[in-house]
Amino acid sequence: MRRDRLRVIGFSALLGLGCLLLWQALASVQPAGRGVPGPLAVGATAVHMLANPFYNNGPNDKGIGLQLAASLGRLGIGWIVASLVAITGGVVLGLSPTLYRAVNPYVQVLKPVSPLAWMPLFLYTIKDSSQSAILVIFMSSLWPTLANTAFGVATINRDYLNVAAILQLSWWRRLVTVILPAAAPAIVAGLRISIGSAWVAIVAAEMLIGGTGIGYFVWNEWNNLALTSVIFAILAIGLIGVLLDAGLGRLSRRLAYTE
Amino acid sequence: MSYLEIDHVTKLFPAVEGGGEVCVFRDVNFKIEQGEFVTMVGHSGCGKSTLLNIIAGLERPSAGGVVLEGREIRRPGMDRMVVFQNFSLMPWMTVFDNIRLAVRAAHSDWHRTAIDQFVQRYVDMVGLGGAERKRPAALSGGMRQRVGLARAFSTEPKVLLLDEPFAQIDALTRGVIQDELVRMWTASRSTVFMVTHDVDEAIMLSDRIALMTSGPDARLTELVDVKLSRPRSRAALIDEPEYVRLRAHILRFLVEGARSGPDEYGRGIPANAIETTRRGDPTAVLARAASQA
Repeated sequence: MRRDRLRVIGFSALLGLGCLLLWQALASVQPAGRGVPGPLAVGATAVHMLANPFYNNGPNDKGIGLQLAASLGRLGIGWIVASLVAITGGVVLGLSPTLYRAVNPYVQVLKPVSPLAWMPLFLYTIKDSSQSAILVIFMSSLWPTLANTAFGVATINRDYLNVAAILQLSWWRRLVTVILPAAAPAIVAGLRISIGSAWVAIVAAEMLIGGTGIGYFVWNEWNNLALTSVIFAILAIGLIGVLLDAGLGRLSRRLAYTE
Repeated sequence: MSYLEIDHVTKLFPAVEGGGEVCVFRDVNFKIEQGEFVTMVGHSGCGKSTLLNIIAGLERPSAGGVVLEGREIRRPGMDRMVVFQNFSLMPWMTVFDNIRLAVRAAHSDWHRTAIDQFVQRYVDMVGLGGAERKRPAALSGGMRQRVGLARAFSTEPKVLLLDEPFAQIDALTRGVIQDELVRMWTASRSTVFMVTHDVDEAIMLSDRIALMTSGPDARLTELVDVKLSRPRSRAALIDEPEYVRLRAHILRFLVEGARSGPDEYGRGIPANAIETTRRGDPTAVLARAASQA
C-alpha cells in the first residue's frame, strides 16, 4: 500500500517535471517577444505577484489575492443562497412524488442552459453587474443540488421513515434527525458538483462584467498581452478549484454512512 | 372486550400484472389479552408481516380493523413499537443516539440528563455498555438487534410488535437474545405480537401461537395454546412431552395443512392471483405488490 503510494507520487512528479521541461524547451526555441512564455517566465511572474498579492492601484491594477477574493466572495454568496434554495426545494420534491413529476420537465429544460445565458436578463432587470454575476453563480449552483437532493430524499430507505412515523416525530425533527442525515451523502454530492460548475462559470461571468475578479483579471492581462499572468491565473484558478472540492470531499466523508 | 382485537382483517394488494387485486390474507380474526405473548407462524408470503404492519398502523387493512383498548388503530403511535427483521437502526447515529431518539420521542418534556440516564439504563440492560459510541455498521447482527430491542422497550410501549426479529441473527446468539427478550418482556409486562417461521422460537417464547395457511388468500386456521410453565429453559424443553407434541403439531400443519388452495367452503383463490404467482415465487410477487402499493 505504502510502496504503491510512493510509486504513484514518484511517477506523478516525473510527469510534471517532464511537462515543464518540454514546455520550457518549446518556449525557448520560439523567437523572443513572440509565442507562449515558458515556465521560467511564468515562475518569475508568480514570484512577483505573490510577493504583494493584495495591492490596489486603482480599478485596472489590483493584486491577484484581491482578485481571487472578489471571485470567491461572489462564489460564496451565490453558492450558499443557491444551496439553501436547492436543498429546501429538493426536500419538498423528494417527499412528494406527484410534485416531483410535475416539476421535473421544467427542471430538465432549465438544467442544460448555460448559466451565462441568463446574464443579459439579469443585467437588464437588476442593472448591477456584480449582482448579476452572483445570480449567474446562483443559476449554475442550483440544479445539481436540487436534483441530487430530490433524488436522495425520494430514495430514503422506507424503514427509516417508518421508524420516524412510529416514534411520531414532528415534521421538524423528522427533517433534521432522519430525512436530512439520510439524504446527506446525495446532497453533498450535489453541492460538490455545484461548487465546481460555479467556479467554472465565475471566470466567464467576470470576463463579461469587468471590474474585479479573477475572470476580469485574466481578460485584462490578455488585453495587456501579459501571457505569463494569464498562465499563472489559470494555475491559481485550478488550485482553488481543487481546494474547494477537497473541502466538500471531507464533508462528504464525514456524512457518509454504511447501511 | 379484549385488549387487542384483530377484527376480521383482510388485505388486498394490486396485482403486479393485468390489474385486479391479489388477496394476501382474508378474514383474520383473533384477540390478544394484555400481557400476552402471541406469535404468528406461517410460510413466507402468508402476509404475517403485513398483518403486523397493519397493527403497527404502517399499513391499512382492506377490510376489517384492529382495536387496541377499545380504540381503532389508524396510524402509527408510540403505544405500539416495532422491532424489525432488518433492525432498521439509523446508520448515521450511534447506538446511544438510536435509543435516545426513541426515548426523547416518548419523553419530550424530560431534561437532557434524565433522558441520557434512561437511555444508559437500556444500553446496560441489553449488555451494550462500552459500545454506545459505535455505529450500527460496526456491530454484529445480534448486537444490532439488541439495540433494536432496547429502542423498542425504552419507550415502554403497550404493545410490542416483533417482525421476525431473530431471522438475521446467527443460531448461537439467537438463543441468548431470545432469553433477553423474555426477561425484558417479563419485567415490562407489555403485550407482544411476534411473527416468525421458526417453530422452536415460537414455542419457546409464546403463550399462544396463531397458525396461518400459505398465501395468497391465507387464512388463520388455528390458535394453539402453549401450556408450558415459565421460565422455560431450552435444555429442559427438548424432552418435555408437551413441547414435542406441539412441535410435531405445528410442523405437520406447516408441511401439510398450510398448502394454499380452495378451502372447505369452496372459496378459491382469485384467478388473477394464481396467474401472478405461477410466474414465480409468490413471496417475490407479494413483495413487489407491496412495494407498488
